[in-house]
Amino acid sequence: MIQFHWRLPMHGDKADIDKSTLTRGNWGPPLDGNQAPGFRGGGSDGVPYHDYLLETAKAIEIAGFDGALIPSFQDTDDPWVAAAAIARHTKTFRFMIAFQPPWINPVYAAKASASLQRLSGGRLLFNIITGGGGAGQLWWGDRIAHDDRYRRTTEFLDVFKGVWNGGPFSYDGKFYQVENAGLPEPLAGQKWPELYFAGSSNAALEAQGKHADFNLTHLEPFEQLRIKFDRVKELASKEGRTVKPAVRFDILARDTEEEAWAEARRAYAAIDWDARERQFSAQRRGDSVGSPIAEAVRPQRNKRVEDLLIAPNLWAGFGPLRPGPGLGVIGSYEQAAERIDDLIDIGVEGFILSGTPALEEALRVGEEVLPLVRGRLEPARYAAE
Amino acid sequence: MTQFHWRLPMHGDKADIGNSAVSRGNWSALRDGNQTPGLRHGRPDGFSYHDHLLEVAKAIEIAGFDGALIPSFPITDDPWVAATSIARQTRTFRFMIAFQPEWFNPLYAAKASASLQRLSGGRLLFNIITGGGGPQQLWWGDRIAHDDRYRRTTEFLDVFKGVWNGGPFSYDGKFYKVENAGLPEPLAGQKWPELYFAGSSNAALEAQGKHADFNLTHLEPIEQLRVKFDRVRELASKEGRRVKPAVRFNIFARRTEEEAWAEIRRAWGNVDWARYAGRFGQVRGDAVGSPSLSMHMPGPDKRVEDLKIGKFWAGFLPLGDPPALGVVGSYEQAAEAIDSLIDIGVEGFILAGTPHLEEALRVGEEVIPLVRGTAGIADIAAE
Amino acid sequence: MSFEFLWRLPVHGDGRAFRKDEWHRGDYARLETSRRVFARTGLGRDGFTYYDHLSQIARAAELTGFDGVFIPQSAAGEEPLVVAGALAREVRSLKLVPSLPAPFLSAVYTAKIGVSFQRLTGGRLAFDFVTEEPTPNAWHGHKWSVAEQIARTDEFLDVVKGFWNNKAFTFHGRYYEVENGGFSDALSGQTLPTIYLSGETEEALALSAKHADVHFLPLEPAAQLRARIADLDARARAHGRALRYGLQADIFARHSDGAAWDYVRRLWEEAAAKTVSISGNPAASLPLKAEAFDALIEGPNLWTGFGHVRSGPAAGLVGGYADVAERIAEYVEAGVSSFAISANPHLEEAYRIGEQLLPQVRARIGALRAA
Repeated sequence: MIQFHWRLPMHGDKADIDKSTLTRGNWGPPLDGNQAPGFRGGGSDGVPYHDYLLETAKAIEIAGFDGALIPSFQDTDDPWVAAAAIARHTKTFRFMIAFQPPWINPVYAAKASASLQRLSGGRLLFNIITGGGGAGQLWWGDRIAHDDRYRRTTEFLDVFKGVWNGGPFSYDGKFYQVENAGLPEPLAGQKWPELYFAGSSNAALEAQGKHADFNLTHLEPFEQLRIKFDRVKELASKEGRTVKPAVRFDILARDTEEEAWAEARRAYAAIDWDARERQFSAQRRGDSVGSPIAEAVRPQRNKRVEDLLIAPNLWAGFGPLRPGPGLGVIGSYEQAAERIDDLIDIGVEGFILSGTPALEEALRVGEEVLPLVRGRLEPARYAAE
Repeated sequence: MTQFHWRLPMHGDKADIGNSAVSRGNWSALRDGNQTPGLRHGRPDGFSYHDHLLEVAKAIEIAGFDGALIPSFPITDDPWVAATSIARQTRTFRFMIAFQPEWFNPLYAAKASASLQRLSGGRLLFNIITGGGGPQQLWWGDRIAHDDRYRRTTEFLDVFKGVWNGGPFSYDGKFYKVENAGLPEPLAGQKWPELYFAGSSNAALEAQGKHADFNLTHLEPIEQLRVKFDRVRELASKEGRRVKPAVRFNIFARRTEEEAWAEIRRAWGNVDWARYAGRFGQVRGDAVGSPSLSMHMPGPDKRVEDLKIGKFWAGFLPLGDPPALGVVGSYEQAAEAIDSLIDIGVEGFILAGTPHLEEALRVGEEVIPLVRGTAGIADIAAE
Repeated sequence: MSFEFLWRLPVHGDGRAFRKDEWHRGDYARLETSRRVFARTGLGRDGFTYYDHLSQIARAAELTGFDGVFIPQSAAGEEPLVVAGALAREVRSLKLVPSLPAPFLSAVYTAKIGVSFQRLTGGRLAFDFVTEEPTPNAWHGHKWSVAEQIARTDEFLDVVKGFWNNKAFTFHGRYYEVENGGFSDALSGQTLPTIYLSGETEEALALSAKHADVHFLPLEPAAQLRARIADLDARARAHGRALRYGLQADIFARHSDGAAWDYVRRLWEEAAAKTVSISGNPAASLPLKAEAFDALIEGPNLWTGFGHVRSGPAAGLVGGYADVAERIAEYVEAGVSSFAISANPHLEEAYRIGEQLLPQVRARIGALRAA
């Protein structure tokens, strides 16, 4: 069964994609019209951003998604905290916590996860991130080099899985040593939280072969994705496992293709390119492999919106509009559904979609686009082809 | 399947049955130790009694009960308002709204009820009360005489049922006239809210025969109840219907019989008899069938033991906990009392105890599992 | 000096019975199959879980005038971090005090969780850090001595505090290393959570002097606590700091002193025939002897038998509301200002203690101050 997730906007959100600053949360300047917190009588109304996240989670649930990715960056709220609060106020919503192994000891992480499963009736998943290295990694207090980080991730998951159903479990790794550990009753043996797993390097794919349930990648031209998925399958089958491909991207869809493009043009007209270039140069660092967008289609002030279309409905212009990957889908509801079907055709079984503003667009995509996706209802036919 | 309900304490509650102060809610002067509202640094803390009602409802739900009666008196909050907020914050809890027909127009009542069924997934029931007459009835602005009140109730329910599944429905009664009415889509055809129906007079029983799902009575000695239930059955069968007997009473149960009586004696020593006379000593209107307990009328001259009637105890009114007759004893004895009622055909229970939150958990955890006649209770061995 | 009452949540099962192995709220004790079950506390019936009970307890504590909830760490219990997150939105004003194993966590990540909690709750988070693995088998997989756990916690707290409000925080320690840490504008400026520590070893006392806001003392008669407080006050002064003090206690309070003691004694005698197994505390898993009851009374209203019937602190207070209120007022007079208290069953007892005991405590403390 194909999973459809949305993404919670942990880094703030804005009322309209054409706004140059974030107007939901306190990542932008405090202005009238801001919400969570709002400004009343010149001061904050005391409503925290978590109130908006909760409303968005409820909208995602009502829109019919399985759940949402809860990303974690330096300047965002913590996803464990958000997940526990959201879990109590939703019924089916699944929370995919973005997680880097060095953040929490593996036995403790297993305990907190088992507790979340008990709290929520088994609605947890993870997006396991091994970290992009560079200064960002040192901010977290993590000095381990790239390939060793993947080895640590593998060891982390060895231990996490090892203790999940109880003990005694012992392990003597390079990064983790455990003796006679194991989750005690009644925490042991909770429903397993599926693992989405990011990373494209050889070290990453080997780690995934052993532990991942899904390989999560940003959107790329479909032919490139097909090649990548083949390598994922190959490395997983060495371990006798199946790792399902999953893709994450933005959708800008409207009733007609023309309306969608008009939105993109309106948003582009409002971009503050000076601020954008300062931010961009600050971000280009770290040692991660596989960041997808080529220089030729990188958004710049001298490019037109249409110049960034690299394949039918595949538009590389999302970067300047909100934090997140550059390549996404633009077009009519039917076209967006067709591109999702194309991805299902090449084997994708998990989607993490997003849009701005997150709450309104979750309802739009859930109501207008997903019902048109044929492969969602007839996955067997697509699998057979 | 036997229904077990509890009662929401709409008239305030107290921390201990032996206390005289109603320290939950704002029915007495606020003191430190009061809650909903509580006092913080000498000021009300901003919580309202609805916060407490919600906690009681959740305890009732977790304790395993089907739901609770939400009584309505001149001094209480409105049960429709309470039910709406509770519905959103509970999952299986059923709310039995106490309702007198003259309070709403029947069409509007049907519309509000259908809306509540949609909101809650069909968790509404009613306790239809026709009104005891006397000064309290006039407080509500209702002057209709006793037997006519039952006729009005019958007509009210004729219309309420008539429009429930849609229209057009027309009706020409003495009290209500309706033309081409009916709940519109998508309100029409919701799950029917079962009707508990109070009243023991002939007029009451006739009205019940036509419309009630349950006949609700206060606890009385078993033999009296048996006779009453036979009449209920007889009048219902005339209409080709079945009306199930239901009983409402307090339970005061402890691990051992001695512990229960020791607590009752301590509470009895604290009764404020002047307040009791003010609240229950007055003329009670024209209702028929309040159990005849004159030999066992509580008073400062009576000992706790003087008020025992068979397995039951008639002293709950001075403890501020109507109805008068209830059960005191060990967990086993309380379960046996419930079984003796199931044996004479009771299919609905509305139980209560003070404080309502704590006692709901106690009765749910300790008493009901010992009841033999409860086929409906989940059996752990089977799960 | 202000004082606070925290209600300790039962993260490892709850019940009306005296002994832990007869608690049937939650799925921690073996389920009885000999009798039917009506209540939903622990069966997962209709989607109910133990969290429904926990959340009711927290709201009861809020409605009855407690200042916060203390969420203990126990190997097999619910995770305090998750419990705190679940409760954060269900109570409006309660302080949340999860107990976390500092030596086993990333310091940076703990700071981040703290910031996020402060944003979520409007600054209602406090941290209790555990620095002593409670079991002989190192549960987290590390067999660090208590001294090493405390040394790690020392650095851990240096990093948490340094990271909190510094824009470019760099730290090179023996256990922790950070470069250019610090939170962005959106996350910065939150109130640092109050830090609760405990322990009686030399290392633990030194750590508290340097890092604690509140130090939990063992529950002893007030006269003995005065000496401990004087010692810690002096150690903290050496760092230019001042500490506040706390106590954790089970409370068994009834309307009269006699009623409380008679009841506890009778439960003890009934339990005496059986052996009670207390997980994680083998020393306590001894046959109870009826005649041992009096030997466990270690002061006025102070009884140390609780450790024999359930895990957690051994000592607690037993007595009438007035007597227990008097003992608490004595502790306040001796310099204690935080009380993390509990009683079974936690929901009903939150009401009892909040409504019947705390008003008497407040009245006594008010009278002390006026005098």
